[in-house]
Amino acid sequence: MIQYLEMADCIGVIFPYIHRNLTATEQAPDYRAEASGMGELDKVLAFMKSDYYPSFHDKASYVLCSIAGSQYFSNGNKRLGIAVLMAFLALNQAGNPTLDATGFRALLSGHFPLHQWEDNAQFQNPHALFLYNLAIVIGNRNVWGGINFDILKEKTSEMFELLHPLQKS
Amino acid sequence: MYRILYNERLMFKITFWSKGNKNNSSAKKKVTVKIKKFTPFPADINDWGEDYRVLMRELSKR
Repeated sequence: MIQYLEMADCIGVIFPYIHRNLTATEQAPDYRAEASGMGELDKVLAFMKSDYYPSFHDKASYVLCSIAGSQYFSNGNKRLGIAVLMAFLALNQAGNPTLDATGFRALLSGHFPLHQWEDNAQFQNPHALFLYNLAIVIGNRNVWGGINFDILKEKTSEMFELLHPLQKS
Repeated sequence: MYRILYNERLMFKITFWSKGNKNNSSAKKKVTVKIKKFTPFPADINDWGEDYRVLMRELSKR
């Protein structure tokens, strides 16, 4: 059975995580103070429970693409999308990918050939660098290759299915 | 869509055809990636480590 995040998890865990780890170099947005964004986030978390997104990986893709690609909050939407995605994966004990940097790059460029991979010396972990590039793709419609948002979610879901398998019970 | 080429105890290899893009179907190409079998994602958000904190910081700059 799929486990879901609730707004209480965002308020109690996700927002503090972002604030705790970002305030050294840049002030994180006060998500809770932005009522409109909180309302939209609540809708996303509720809708991902529906059968409209039948599989675990469809739901993971939906939650990332919806939040990271949105302007729900004044700032910090990509960070929130990534953090919510990772919490959703962890909550369901999904697999942790162990591709090397070349493999991640091949996977992303195979799905989004127009995206120019951005190397960043800050990253030691290739999965983090992959998520960084994926977030850039989601936020830049020019590299989608003419596809719409639904196909974007499908492609992202396909990659997650490969990278984050669910443990068979 | 995906084809698992072989299975071993710890690794499996997957090949797929990229979808190319709207204006250039010849952009399709065969892509193969190797993935290690299951290791659980860190369950505790505080165990995600420095790499993910770096990820968040880098995203904050964009």
